[in-house]
Amino acid sequence: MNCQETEQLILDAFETPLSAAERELVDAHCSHCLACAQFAETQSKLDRHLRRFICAPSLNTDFRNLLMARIPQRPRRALHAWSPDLAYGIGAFVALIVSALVLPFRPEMVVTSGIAICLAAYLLQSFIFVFVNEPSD
Amino acid sequence: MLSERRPAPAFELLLDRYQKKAFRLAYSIMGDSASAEDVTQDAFVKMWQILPEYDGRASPSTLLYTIVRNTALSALRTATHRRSASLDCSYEVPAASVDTAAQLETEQLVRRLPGAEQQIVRLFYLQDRKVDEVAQMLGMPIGTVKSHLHRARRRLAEWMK
Repeated sequence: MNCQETEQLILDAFETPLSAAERELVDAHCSHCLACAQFAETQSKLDRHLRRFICAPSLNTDFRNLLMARIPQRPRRALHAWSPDLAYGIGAFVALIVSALVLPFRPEMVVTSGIAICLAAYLLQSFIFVFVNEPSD
Repeated sequence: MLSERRPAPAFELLLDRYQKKAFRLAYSIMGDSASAEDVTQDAFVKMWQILPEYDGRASPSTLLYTIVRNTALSALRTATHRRSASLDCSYEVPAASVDTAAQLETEQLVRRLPGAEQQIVRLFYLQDRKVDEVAQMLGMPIGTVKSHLHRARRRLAEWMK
């Protein structure tokens, strides 16, 4: 094993423990290579320093309360998810009643009023659908 | 679970699991705990805002780390503009340090590293030396993290001599 490979293994060892065979190879190389032995020693010293001095600061104990105070509460939905179906049902029912009332007296109006009522029911349903599905904040 | 229509419990779970990691990630970028805490708060507020649209395609942690990184980098840019004349962008040195001189020396060496290497070295030691976690938090391949780390170690060792 050459110096470059040895250095690579020395550096790898700080992230993942070397296998026994790899450890033996590194030790064997370092026993006769002063440069690699020094490299290993310097890296070990550096690792000790970094482990000791790079430490995690602690999060403020009030962190969560402060965060929750910033989070806007989601308002309760005024309409339920089934509201569009209900709107459409009501529209259809009104159309049926109006048709039943108008048909005997003004047969020529039945198509116009039917279309108008269906359109109104559709628009009401669409409006409620958009309202129910829009993000609440 | 997060894609269900119950963002509040999911958000609580997210906080329980990731608030420390998010804070460490922010700290590795910002360099001081006060700014890191602000960034972490902002990131969680953003996360809360996008939860209703969350489709579950990316893991929540990946999404959160991305938000933390972007928020931190944006805050850092703003801070850099504010103090462009000042060279003082020092990382905090805990007051309870036993060997302050050695700590300062180590800190100064780390601060000489290029940005990405600096973040990776810090995060590696803050995250109990787990390369895979560092890679996930920074959104980088493990190999890239390792090569940055090795380069940083070589530089640091050279400067320590």
